[in-house]
Amino acid sequence: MDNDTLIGRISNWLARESGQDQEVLLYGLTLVKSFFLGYGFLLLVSFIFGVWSFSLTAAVTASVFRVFSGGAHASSPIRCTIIGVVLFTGFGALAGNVTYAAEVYPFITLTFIAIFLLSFIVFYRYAPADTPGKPISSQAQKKYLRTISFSLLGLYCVSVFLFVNSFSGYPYMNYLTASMLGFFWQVFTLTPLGYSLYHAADSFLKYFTKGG
Amino acid sequence: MRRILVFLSTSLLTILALANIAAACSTWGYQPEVPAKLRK
Repeated sequence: MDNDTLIGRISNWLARESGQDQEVLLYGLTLVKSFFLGYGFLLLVSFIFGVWSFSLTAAVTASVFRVFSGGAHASSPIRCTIIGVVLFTGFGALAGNVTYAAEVYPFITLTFIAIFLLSFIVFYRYAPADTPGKPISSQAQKKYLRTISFSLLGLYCVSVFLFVNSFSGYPYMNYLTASMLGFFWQVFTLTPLGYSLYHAADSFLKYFTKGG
Repeated sequence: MRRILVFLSTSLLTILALANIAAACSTWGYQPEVPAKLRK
């Protein structure tokens, strides 16, 4: 983290004024910047394409799971923003334009069952997946993150099936599709293949962006 | 007023930093490196 950037100067000023640790404040500010940069650009781009509500649904679902289960990360905020904006706008566009005929509803339920079974296996095998910048070395932390991840997965699974049985048609099924796409992407980023793909996208974007 | 705002913002940033330490990673795809002081 660079002290010469705008957030570096803000953290220096806040540390001087409050007497608190500058490094901790800079870390907090970096997290805030990353959050607003990511969601801000996602809302802007997906709004232009007219799918902001679906993109936001996919992104929020992935974010909620990501906090507890971890997953692959880009090596700079700008590259992470580009990858996230492209992916979630794509998911939003896909989910917003899909239409389900009544005959395919049983297949949707079967697909969701398959996704959840696969997710339980991936969570059991890989969650919580750490990153080089934030390794999870404590066994106690691993244990509570796994517990929360599985509880969240179970809760989400039940909610999805209740939703499928209670609602149908546009826009309900589209929001559900968006949420499931975000969830599926998050599960994928826990796997070694997900890490490899994220790394490949990150390396490719290094040719066009600075930093990291 | 300025002191209250500084206090509130620094408290919020500290809580955010500590919450991120307790979590697996950040919400969006970028996870900054954890400062040495916050590592075990």
